[in-house]
Amino acid sequence: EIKIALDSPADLEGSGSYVWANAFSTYLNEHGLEAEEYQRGALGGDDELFDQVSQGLLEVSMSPLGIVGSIDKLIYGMRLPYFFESMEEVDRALYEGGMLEKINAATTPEGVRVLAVDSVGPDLGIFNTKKPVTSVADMEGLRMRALDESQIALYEAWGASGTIVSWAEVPNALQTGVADGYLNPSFVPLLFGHTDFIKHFTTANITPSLRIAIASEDWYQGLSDEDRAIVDDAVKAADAANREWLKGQDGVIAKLEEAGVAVVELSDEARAEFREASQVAYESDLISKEQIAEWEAAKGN
Amino acid sequence: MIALVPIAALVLLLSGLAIAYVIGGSAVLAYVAMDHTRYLAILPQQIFSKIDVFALMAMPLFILAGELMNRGGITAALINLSMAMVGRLRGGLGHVNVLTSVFFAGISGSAVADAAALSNTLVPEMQRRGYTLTYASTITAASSIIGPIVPPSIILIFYGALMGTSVTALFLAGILPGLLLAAALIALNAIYAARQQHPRVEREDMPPLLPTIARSLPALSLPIIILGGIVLGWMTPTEAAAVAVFVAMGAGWFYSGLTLRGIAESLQRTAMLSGSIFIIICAVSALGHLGALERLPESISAAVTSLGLGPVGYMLVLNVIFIVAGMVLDIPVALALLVPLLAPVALANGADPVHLGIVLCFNLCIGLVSPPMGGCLLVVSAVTGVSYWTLARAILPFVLVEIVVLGILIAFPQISLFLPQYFGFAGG
Amino acid sequence: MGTLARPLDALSLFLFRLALIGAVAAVLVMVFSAGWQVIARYALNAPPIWTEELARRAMVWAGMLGASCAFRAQADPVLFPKARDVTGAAGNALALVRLVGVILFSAPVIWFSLFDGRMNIARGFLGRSAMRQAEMLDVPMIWFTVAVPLAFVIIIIHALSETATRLSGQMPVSPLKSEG
Ligand code: NA
Ligand code: NA
Repeated sequence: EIKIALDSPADLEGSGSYVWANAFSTYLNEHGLEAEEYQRGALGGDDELFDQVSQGLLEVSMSPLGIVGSIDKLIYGMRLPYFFESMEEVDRALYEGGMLEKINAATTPEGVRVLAVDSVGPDLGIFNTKKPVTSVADMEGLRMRALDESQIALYEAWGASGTIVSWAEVPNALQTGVADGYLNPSFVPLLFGHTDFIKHFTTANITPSLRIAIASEDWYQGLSDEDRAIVDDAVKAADAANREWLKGQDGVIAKLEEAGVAVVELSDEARAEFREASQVAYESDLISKEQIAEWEAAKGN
Repeated sequence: MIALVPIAALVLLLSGLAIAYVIGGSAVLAYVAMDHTRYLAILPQQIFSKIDVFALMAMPLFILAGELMNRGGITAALINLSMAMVGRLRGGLGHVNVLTSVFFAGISGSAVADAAALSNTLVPEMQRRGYTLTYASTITAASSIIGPIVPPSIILIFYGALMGTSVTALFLAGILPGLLLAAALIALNAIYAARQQHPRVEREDMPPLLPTIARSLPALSLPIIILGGIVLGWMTPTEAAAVAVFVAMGAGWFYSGLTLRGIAESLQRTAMLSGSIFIIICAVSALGHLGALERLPESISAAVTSLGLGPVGYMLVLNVIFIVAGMVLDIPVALALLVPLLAPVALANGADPVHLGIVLCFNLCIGLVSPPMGGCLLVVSAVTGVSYWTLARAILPFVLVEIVVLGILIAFPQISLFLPQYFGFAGG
Repeated sequence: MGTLARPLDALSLFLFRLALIGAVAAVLVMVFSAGWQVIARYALNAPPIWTEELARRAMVWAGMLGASCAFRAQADPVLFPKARDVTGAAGNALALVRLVGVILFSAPVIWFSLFDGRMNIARGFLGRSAMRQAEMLDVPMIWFTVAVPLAFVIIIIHALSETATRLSGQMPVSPLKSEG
């Protein structure tokens, strides 16, 4: 039996990660490999799932990018602001540009294979409780919730400031002004009921919203050639289903507006300004210069 | 093979081994018996992940603040303040007992700490003024459980960590139920006072009003800082707990009850108490993975569906399970074992995670004052010398009232959810 | 048994005191890093990024070392505490049962901290966490993960010492009472 650990509710409408996992498991089961989905959290949190995969005790897990980043930072190329134009470009770098292979060169010795990168929704934008953000200058005075040091550096480069708040405390932090906003894919405030106090959204298109599917390398190498081919084809089927799902996600913006969130579309000049101001992320500890160059080459433009 | 595991567990339990090690040892046996031995390889990571949790951080710090508080002479200041407020009523010291527990609750997250502190101080005082020792002990035990319901609360922190629910939301949700419980106990005390002719505090025995209030300010500043700080978003629960530690030190210095030795002992007790809770988490995390591999949560939810319990029926069953668990198990054990297994089904059936947290906390607290294993009964009985079973009998009317309050909380989730929703936590 | 009980008890007591100091120090690290977080946010208007993680990892150390101390001081909740007062042959038998229970739980944790499922020492829990970086603090995870197996090793030593003491005809003494 192939165990697949989910990282989101089993929702084919709202969760791109589940769309991937479900297409993957369906393909396997239809082709004679028994696969079973385990609810989010059932087999443990992100770290535990990673640990189980690396030891061959869990076959497949839907996981965040950063889980592999703790072994090798190359994968953080996908977190560079204004690096990719589109999901097609991400796919080109990963598959034609060989980046997925390079990522795996570092992780497979640790027992973990990155099977695929899945989209969980439209690009990351700027949410806040205070004011419409139409240019970098509007970021002044906003205190944004940050994930890590490199994100704080990014906020500071935009003229804002950052503070680290755990996700569970975010509603209170936004209500009370400990934080004024966050970066997230557009569906997040809807999913978590934050639209009562999140008032402004800017479609800044900073990075694509991505997670990964990881598999146990021991399991993968232990498959017969025939079964491995089925697994590879299941990955292709799941990728296709995920990219197809993403195309239908444009309605989120309308739903945000319905929920009372004012949406700002950045002008081309403003977007260029944000891109300019985001250069700091290319000089942070998140990822090395050489690694960025590899991603550049892989994008092929 | 698998039948041997419960037998082995029973033998370990009867040998006097601590519950955490009984659970851990039996879990390991169960992995072997169920042919899951290879999964033991992830045990260390599993343990680490379950204790390396953001939401747990407030727990040791609030334990420490409570320890410092108990050693710092703050209890006496709180009793005097309550006395100045309600002492002149009939049954005054009974009301004082309940009210002191409310103030105490705003500082400490533990019912047992409250029970121990007031058994030492207020019970002899009540006895001296014409209350029976049994009644004084009874109301002390009964009102001690206000402690973990009014924030801060170790139980709610633990629940928040297990369920990934905001500790701030849980703290906000505990305020009104805690006050409702206090009001119910004061009402019951008034009935007893009228029927048994309990005394009031004589005018000449009343502490002077203004100096008393002035003297209680450092102690009272604590709940205000803790609650205000969290509610207004100045601090996370963890930060508030750290601030509480510093304020407790300051207040202890003000009341000049806190010695260096007292601080050292507080730190040691904090480390060991936290350790006792952590080893339980370690043990249960081993068991938890076994349940996941065997798809136990899915089986439970299937059973709920097939029995046709429905959301209300399941909630009632859940309450019975938790009250019984609170009676026979230590609270952290009951929480760690049952919450991950039973709570998700309730949530899937439409329960609010914050409301559920308050209800389950209340359940476990009732277990603290019910036989056979009620922790607060044990402490009060040990300190006051009233026999355990006498106390268990005398407390029955109070427990009944507490069950009624619990029923009201279950029927009206708004009592718990009003404040969290007011401060922007969605749900309900 | 008596010849073994004495040095074991001395070792156990030494480890208890050492672990207690370590646990208290870790609690203090928690207090000060969480306290510093408040000061830095309001007084210096610069929210630090490492305080939360430092406090959390210190909690792991405090909790695990504290767990070993609680075991030695017999401060953990027990359902049938009276069984510990039984003396003689029956008491010895009960003590051995308890020792088995402790080893059952602790041994796999220690073993799999060192080795993985295929007896590879580089890929055990500690080996794996040596390869991973902490989030904000610039050290490998092993600095924190090692607290888990270490505490279980100390707990096994405490359990062996208690058993040896009983088998040599004496009752274990609480380390706190002997000090105070
Ligand atoms: Na409390
Ligand atoms: Na009381």
